[in-house]
Amino acid sequence: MAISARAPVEAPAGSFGSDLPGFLERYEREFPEEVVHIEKPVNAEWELTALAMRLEKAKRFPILVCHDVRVNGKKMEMPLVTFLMASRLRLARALAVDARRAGITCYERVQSRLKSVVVPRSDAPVKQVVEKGADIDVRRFPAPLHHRMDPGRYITEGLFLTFNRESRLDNSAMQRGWLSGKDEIRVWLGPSTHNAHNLREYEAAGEDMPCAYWVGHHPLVLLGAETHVGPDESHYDAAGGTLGAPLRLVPSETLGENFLVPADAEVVIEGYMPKGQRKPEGPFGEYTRHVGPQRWGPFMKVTAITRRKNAYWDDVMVGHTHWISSLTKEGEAFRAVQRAVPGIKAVHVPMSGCGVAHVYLQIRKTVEGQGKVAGVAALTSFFGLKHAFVFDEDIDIFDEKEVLLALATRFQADRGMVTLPGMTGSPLDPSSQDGTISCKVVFDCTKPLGKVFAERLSIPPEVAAKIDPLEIVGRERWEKIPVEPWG
Amino acid sequence: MADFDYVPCPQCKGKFMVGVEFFRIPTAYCHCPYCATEFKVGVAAKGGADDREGNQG
Repeated sequence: MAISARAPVEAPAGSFGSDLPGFLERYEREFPEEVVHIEKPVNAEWELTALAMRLEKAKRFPILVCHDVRVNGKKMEMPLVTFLMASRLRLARALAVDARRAGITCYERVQSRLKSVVVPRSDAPVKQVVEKGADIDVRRFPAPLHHRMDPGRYITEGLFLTFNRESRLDNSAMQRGWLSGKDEIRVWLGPSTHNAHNLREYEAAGEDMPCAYWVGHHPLVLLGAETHVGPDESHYDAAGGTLGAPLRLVPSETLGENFLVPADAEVVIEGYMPKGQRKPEGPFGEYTRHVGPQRWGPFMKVTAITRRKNAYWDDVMVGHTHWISSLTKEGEAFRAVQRAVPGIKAVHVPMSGCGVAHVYLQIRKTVEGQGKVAGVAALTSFFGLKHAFVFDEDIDIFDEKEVLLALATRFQADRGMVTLPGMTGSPLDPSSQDGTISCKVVFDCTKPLGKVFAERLSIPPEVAAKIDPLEIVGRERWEKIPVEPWG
Repeated sequence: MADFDYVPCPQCKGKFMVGVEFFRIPTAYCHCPYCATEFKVGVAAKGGADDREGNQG
């Protein structure tokens, strides 16, 4: 790909910039209460996780910018950003849509697949600092120690990048990396991932595999890059689609001119995976909110680190609230269902299902059986989806009390359940007893067509509208009445 | 999952989860996440080659 002339590329207005610093600055200007700067020291060992857990319990998801992260008592050079992707509302604002449409919109934007552009090194902020040889030390990054049983500090919101040996097509995926040594990162590549496939190809040819991590970018770029695309499709182009502007790329420092990395990333870590070499990696607290076991897997020897002068380290609290997984799956599921059931209205991959295992579908059923068809279609859209719940239009699939009400009052297992045993599932599912084999289930919670069904409780809307409990109870007393989570 | 087991570290006795491959691959070794001790289990412990460079096996 030839280097283009200086191409100032701006994302559409409303996206809040086109890189991470731009996003933070513009978002904070408009929503200052949602960007929290923490100046007091925070230990990388578990304290950030503790903070994330408390915020999660309180259902509050501000972006956290930690300016003083300590590792073994020592202040790290870079500030850390976390919870960037923890707010569905925030990501929806960046996409300029209602929060309920964020997943579908993300998918629609990916389809535009804007071709990336290559810029010169002089125009790439990620090249402001270049470190090679003895200067390399990945342990200088303020990556946290997230959970007990993690062997060390991990890259979590970094995109692991490889290029297909034959097609030269880029592939990026959020794959965990343990900062295991000065110039070593141990990576877990799920066996069915495209990066694992690329490694097998290189090793079959007797070659080391060039690879890199890119860390920190605009949230829409992260969403696009993490979207599941085919092996013949570019993650870079998908990321440009979600951003609304072509992704700017720049040649690597040590992996050749054709190994292109995002020019506007915060940090790029270049290296290679030595062929046939393996070391222990993990255990690691995973998105399933359970620990995944230690694995015998490949590792990366680091050959260069490049970064912005004032780079942020971007971290996702794995196993805690973030919407990367949900949003990238909702659109795929919607499209898969739409081909089979045109009356699909909405899709929600809820956080309660770890952002992967459960999918809620809202349909307008016109033919009996469409509920089950919709569920099966959704389950085929991504191997990690395990349980599909299908509802009528009157059920708000973003309100889990409504979801469970429908399960309680509209579902009969002998009529509405479809089980699909022996299917490929997530290798990290703790309930699977056979590696990746999973039994998938559809729960059809739609009302039967053409038959009488009980009406839901209701009152005249004009009466509902004129009653204000705050006015009747009194504000002072209202504040003192406890809020009960089991209500 | 169930393609893993808990193993105790011979040094600190802390138990942690390791994949079944560690019991089957002669060159594989475990890394204790609590004290960083490295040790072998399964067939590797019974006399597999000691190769800390981590051959695939």
